[in-house]
Amino acid sequence: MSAVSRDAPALVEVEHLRVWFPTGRGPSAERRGHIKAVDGVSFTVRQGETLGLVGESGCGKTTTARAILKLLEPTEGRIAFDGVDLSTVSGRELRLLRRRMQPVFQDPFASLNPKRTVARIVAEPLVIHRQGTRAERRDRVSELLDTVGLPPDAAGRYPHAFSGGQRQRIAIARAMALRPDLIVADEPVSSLDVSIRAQILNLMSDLQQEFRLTYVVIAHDLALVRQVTDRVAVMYLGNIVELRPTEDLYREPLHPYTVALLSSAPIPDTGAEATRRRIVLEGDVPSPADPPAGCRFHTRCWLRRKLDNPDICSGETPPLTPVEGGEGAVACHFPDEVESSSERRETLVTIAGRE
Amino acid sequence: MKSLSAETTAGPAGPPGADGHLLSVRDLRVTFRAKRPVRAVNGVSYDLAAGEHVGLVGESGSGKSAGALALVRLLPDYAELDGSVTLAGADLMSLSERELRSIRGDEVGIVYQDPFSSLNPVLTVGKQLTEVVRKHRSVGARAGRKEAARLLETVGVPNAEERIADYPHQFSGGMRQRAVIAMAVSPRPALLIADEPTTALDVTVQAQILELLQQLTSEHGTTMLLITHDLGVVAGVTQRLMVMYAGRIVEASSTEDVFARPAHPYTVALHRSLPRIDTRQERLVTIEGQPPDPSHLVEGCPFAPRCPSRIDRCAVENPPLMTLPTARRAAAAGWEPLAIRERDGNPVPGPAGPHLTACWNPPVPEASSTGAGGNG
Repeated sequence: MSAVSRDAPALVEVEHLRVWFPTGRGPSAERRGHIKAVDGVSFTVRQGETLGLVGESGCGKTTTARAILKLLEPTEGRIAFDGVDLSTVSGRELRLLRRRMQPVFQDPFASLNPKRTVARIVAEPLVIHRQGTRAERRDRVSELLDTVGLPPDAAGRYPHAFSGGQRQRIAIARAMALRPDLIVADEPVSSLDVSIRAQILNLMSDLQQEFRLTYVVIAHDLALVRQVTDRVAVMYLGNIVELRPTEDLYREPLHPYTVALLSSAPIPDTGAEATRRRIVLEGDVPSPADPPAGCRFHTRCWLRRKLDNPDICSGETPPLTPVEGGEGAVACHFPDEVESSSERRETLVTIAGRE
Repeated sequence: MKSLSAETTAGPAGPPGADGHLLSVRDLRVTFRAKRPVRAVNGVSYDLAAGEHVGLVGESGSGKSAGALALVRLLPDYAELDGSVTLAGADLMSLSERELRSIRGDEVGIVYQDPFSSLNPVLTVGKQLTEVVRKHRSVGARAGRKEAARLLETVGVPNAEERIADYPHQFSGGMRQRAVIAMAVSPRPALLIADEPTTALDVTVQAQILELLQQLTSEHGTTMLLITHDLGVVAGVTQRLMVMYAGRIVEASSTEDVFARPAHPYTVALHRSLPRIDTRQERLVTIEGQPPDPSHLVEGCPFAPRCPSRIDRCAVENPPLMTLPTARRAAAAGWEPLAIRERDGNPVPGPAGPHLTACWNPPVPEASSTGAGGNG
């Protein structure tokens, strides 16, 4: 959305975040396992930027987002919001912080209470946080409805009277009610009709500019991610495998998984689709309860196969390492080989090369 | 109906109907009874030839799924059907429920969006596959089981011999969809209806499933009707496209044509509003307004309220599908839909047909080498 300088101060700092969910029952610790939904993730979200979290289901992107909102407790690691460690705050202090971070969910049919009027839904954060008098709240609601492009008479109606796109506007109005600094949007348009997605994305972009918002956007649609983000963290099985400025990621991806994702993206262009060769990843994403040793992607990695299965891939976890001579970081033992591969070259030609 | 089933489909596909088409749909209408009837499909006609892969694109509420499920009358009781559907010469609308059951599966396979809902959670995948195999072929239990494992293997499920003992929940989403596809294609249906087959799946898995569908249908010469909201999905897999809006087909042509020279303002706008993977746009082009409510259809073209190129006529008269004028003709005579209709009659989307659009004021294609310039 907006171009944000790389020295912009951090709004959110995530350090070595682990979120494990216990599975199974049993008296002995060995019998009990864990779903390692997020397993050692570090990144910052800079003030005013849009950070994208992408990856396939089970990669930990939603869990990461929920941890940032303190909707669940980290198993390990530290999350700081505007310098304040979230694990140290509670009560009043936490409520104050919570005002500054708001979620927007994927499905506006599920996230809006059908028994309440739009006015009540949008005013609810104000009521919970005891903001303003009744009259002030009413004014604020009309102001918010106007901001998100809904007619004033929407206030008295119920969610069922609105289409998906309008409901998502209501959800965004609610998220904006407390004038937050950070909005975490989990697949904000994927449940909406294709013809109205652009409206919502443009609205989010306008709001960001006008109110200097910071966004964390979770999405699986790579075209959308290119359009709306400044930086992208690509996640796989609970780890970040690549974290780069958006344009760098799409122009010169350095992780084999990123290349595979780009190569799989459907392209609404018959020429590109007719000539492309996709990188087909073998098998499924392994279980996060028992992730592969070493690099978690090694069991499906096309590059590892091509390099004749070097031991290091299954033996050592590659750390997220700063990109040489560039911005961002990548977690692969062989980024140079990715760079020089024909697979990457072909993928980039496919996604960029329209006649 | 027996004569149409698996053993006779060794050729490219099932025997064509009298007019040479595998499937002919005429003036299909689906209305869901309710306090305000929901007119989901409002007069849809098209032909499918044997072996074609055709995409049916539309948003939710456009009638694309209702229209496809209506072909084999897989709709709830409160749905009213009208029109005619002919599959390989048989009139599906007049068949009894029993006769239809043998058509479904035997001649028409269906793959739904959510593979979980098409599998029985309390039976093993192997048992369900064996059931399908044995329904269509007179083989014993053991041979059926063996065939089930072979089928799972063809659709790319590793360790198929062992995995047939698994229950659906033990399969990943992609593997489940593979199993569903195995069931759908095992009787070698002449027509495969794939209703958003990859929407519930991750991108890397989506690519695999599309490839699998492509490969299996091509191998057996199966006709595929691929229903989706995603223009990216149909771009690589189909030869023809039909775009639906508010229960009608608004544009139809070869996939290439629809992408390169979209001829309905809705298709044009849809295309422009998509984020692109090759570049970041300054600002996304939006389609203002909302898709129409199928229980509230008004007079005129349903896209008119959102249409940038609407003219007066659009508000009063819903345009039928018409042959798109060539640039030359449009430039010479002006776009005169009535004259064109008089000459062409009511064209029906079909194999190798002309580019059709349901628009009184369509974007006129760029001039061909012989034509004079014209612009829309």
